[in-house]
Amino acid sequence: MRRFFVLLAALLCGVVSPALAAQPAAGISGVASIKGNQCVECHETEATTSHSFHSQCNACHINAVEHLQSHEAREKTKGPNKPPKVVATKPDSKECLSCHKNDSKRMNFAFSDHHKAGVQCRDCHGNHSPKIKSLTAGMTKAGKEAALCASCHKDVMVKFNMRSHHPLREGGVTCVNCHDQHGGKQTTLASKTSQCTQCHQNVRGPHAFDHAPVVEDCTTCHNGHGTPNKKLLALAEPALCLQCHSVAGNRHGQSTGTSNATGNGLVISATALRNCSSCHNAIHGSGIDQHLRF
Amino acid sequence: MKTNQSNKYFIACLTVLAAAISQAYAADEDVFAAGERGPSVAGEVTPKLIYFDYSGGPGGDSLQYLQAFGGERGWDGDADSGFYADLDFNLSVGDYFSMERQGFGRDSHRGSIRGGNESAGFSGYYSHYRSGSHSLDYLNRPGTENNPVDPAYFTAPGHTNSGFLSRFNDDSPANPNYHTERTKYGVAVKFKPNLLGKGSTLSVAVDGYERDGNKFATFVAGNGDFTDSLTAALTGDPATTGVRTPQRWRGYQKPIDENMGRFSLNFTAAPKGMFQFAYDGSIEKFRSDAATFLMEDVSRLSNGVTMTPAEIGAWPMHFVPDTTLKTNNFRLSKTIGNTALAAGYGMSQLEQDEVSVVQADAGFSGKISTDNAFFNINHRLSSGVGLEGYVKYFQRDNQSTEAPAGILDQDVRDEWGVRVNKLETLDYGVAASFRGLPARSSVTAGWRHLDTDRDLQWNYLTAANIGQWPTTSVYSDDTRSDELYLKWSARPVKNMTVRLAPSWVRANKTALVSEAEDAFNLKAALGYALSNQTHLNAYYNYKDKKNGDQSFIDTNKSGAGVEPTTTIEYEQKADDTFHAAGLSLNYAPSEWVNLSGSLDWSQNDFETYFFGTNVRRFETNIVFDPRGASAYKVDTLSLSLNADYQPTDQLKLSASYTLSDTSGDIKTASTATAVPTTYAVNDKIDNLLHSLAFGADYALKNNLTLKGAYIYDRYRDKAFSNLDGDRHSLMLGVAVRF
Repeated sequence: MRRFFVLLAALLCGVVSPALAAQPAAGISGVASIKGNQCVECHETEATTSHSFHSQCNACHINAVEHLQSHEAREKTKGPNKPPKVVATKPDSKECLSCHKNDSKRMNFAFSDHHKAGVQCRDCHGNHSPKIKSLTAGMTKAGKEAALCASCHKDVMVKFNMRSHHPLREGGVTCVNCHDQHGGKQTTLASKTSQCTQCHQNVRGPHAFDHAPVVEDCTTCHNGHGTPNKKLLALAEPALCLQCHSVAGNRHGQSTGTSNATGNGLVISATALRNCSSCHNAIHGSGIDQHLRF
Repeated sequence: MKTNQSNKYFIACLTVLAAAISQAYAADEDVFAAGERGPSVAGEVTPKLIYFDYSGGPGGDSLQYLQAFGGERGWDGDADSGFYADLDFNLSVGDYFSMERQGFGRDSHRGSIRGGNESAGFSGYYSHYRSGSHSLDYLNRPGTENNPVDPAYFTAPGHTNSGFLSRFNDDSPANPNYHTERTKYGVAVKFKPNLLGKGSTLSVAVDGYERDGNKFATFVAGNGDFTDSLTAALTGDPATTGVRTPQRWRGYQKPIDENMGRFSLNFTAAPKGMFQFAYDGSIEKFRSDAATFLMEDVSRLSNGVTMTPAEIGAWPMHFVPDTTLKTNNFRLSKTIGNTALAAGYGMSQLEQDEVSVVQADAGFSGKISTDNAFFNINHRLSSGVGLEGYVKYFQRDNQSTEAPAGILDQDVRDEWGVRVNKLETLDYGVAASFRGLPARSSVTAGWRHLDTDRDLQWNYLTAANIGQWPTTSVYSDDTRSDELYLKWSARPVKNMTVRLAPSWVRANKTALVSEAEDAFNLKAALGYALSNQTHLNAYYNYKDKKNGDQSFIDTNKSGAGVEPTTTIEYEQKADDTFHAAGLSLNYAPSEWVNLSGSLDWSQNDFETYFFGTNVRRFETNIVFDPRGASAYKVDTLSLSLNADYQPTDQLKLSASYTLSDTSGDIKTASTATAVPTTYAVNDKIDNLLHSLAFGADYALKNNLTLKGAYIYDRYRDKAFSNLDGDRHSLMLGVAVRF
């Protein structure tokens, strides 16, 4: 914890000082410069499809005033020397967050993974119309939220077709049950395991006998989206287990091979190797058994 | 009988559909009249009738693969074929209220409700989903064709410890139906700044779930815990072990009856606009009310099996404790000019509310606390250059009591592998981003460092019961790794976007084989609009992760307090390579036709060593035995095709096809040769999923649409053929808008 504060102090000294000297950024401009229904005169459709809480066009389209002024100037100007056209830009995340940062889920959006990847609020949220208007037959149960995520995360979506998968296509879960679309790894206050155990409390313990990777990170063994193996295992047993565990001959071997006094060299049958968890079934930890058998 | 019942339901449902259609016709004029008045109420009701038919699989109440994932049941409870009706609806009142329900049968449905104004809002949801995935495990339980036992184990002269692998004893009821049902719910109320003042919000939420059902669970009892007076001994049965050893390995039906309830409070404020503050707190209660299976239950379920000694009868199998989790999180954020700051601190405490009889006797109580903290800063030096830094801290403290003696036998200390007393992680990094570069590109270059310290307790106590020593383990105290990463995105030509994100990880120390000692990751993506009608996307992901940092060491442990001596060191290596590539095309030749398709491929190639030991690592003199490689190489190919076509204003047609083909080897050294040839254990993964769907919507009137869909799924598994199956599903519905 001490090192955390040392690093914190270093970051504060190095970067905050020049920041404090900087001038505050300009706020949203021109909010009061459009009167009445000037926008609606041209943009009738958009006016009817906008959310009631977003009825003031220039609160989001920040250069709407310039757009309107250029439009009026071009209307008045005859001939070829019309002033340049100014397009009303779509709002950036900054404009949306000026109102929507008032909860803990969005207040750190500036450090979120989506923001760092250049994703703007408008890429997922459609104020005038939903981003996903209809679903293919295969995505009906998954729903529009999942379909929206899938429109970018195609490499992830394909994993839900694998033999073992979280039931997203079947309607049992959706992406945001596990992922915080407005947050990121740098600003989470959850541990790596608590993300999974918010639904899977039955395996979180506390256990008298822990299994180390369960304490560390569920994704050591599981891939939450989908895998070719049973139980969302990242690798099939026994390869998954054997990277950390040796197999004791005097408990798992048979002497039809070259039996010796120490137990090494005994044949280990697939009965023991194929499904380690068939015997060590309390694989997430046990209340009473150090061998995680029950 | 079932057929007659289905017919009755079918007729009843047709009546409902007919009534809905006639009502819609009658209401049509009113709807248009209301539309002219500019009503803010809108909605749609869609009653649906579904016929389904599953074929294949093991039969009885055991489910095949397709039934396990999102399976259906008819009105009469038949899970193989039948009819059921369901209803979708949505209702909105302007932007102030909305309610939605979607139903896919009695085992899969969900709903949500939300409303409010600019001062306050409320929301709620529920969902219900039934899974049969546990049934797949049961089908491949030990002792089945695909997962056989090995009678040869019992013929080992003088080898009495692993003979139990010659037989699996299933104490579950005949023809069990394994499934779990999860019903989630939540309600929340939020008060907004209009009510509380600028920057302030308050929300209160309650959520939770009920989870019921059963699953198949297994365990291995002690060598003499059960004896069998009735069953004839196996061939080659050593006289001393014949009545007990084969009885050790057992399975039973484990009931599930769990519920979780959580109360959450969130408060945000912006005192005089100086900064933004948020508090999140929650109290969560988890209860498991299912009866715990005890060792003595085996004698009750399995005729002829007796248990000794009597005191082990109270041992609970797979005990799930009731627990309470409390969390408190605080966040601060501030933007000063071009600089954004964010800080947070969170703590949690998980306490065990209920202990088993055995834990109570040993004086055990469970408690785990965590602390989290972060600080983030980014600063925009200019419109093209930004800097960012972060530091993040995490601690997990195992405050559970350490039992004064062994939990199962209080005279002998348990042979703990290792106890993780504390886990502490410090993660920090810096990054610089540059925008407005040539080819309309931007670059982010960064470095991050991960530093994890573990307080591990190894239990090296007595010569008789010696515990594990660190040299015999590939789990260690520290992780120190650095990562360099680059993210480049560009628009080199009009309508084209390119993203490239390579990263390199190098660790000075790793604590687990699964951590990267050396890793290279690459994510590449291309998006190109060939025309207004045609969009192309492609991606390629690559990961190569290696670890050779951990070793097993032959170790001689002679007694308590005596430093063990070590001899030969064996390096454990893991090499994990992953490729994924995909290509998708979307083509919309007209506003009435939309075609899309994608082809994806992934491959996971993993290799590690398979080590044996002469004895368990809890015992005295450990000698490791490298026995070869354990390999895993699996390919998955997926094809998806979709088409939407609207030939007339009234008619919309859609079709989709999905193929997922997975195959590969999961062979472990010596596995194949060690399996008796009479048992066909397959060291392969080989399965195929097809899904074909057609849909049609026909608008009879402006407010009335007939809907129909047909879906055919087919699953084939060459490694586990009892999972094979087909599914046909036909849906008819009518959507009535108002």
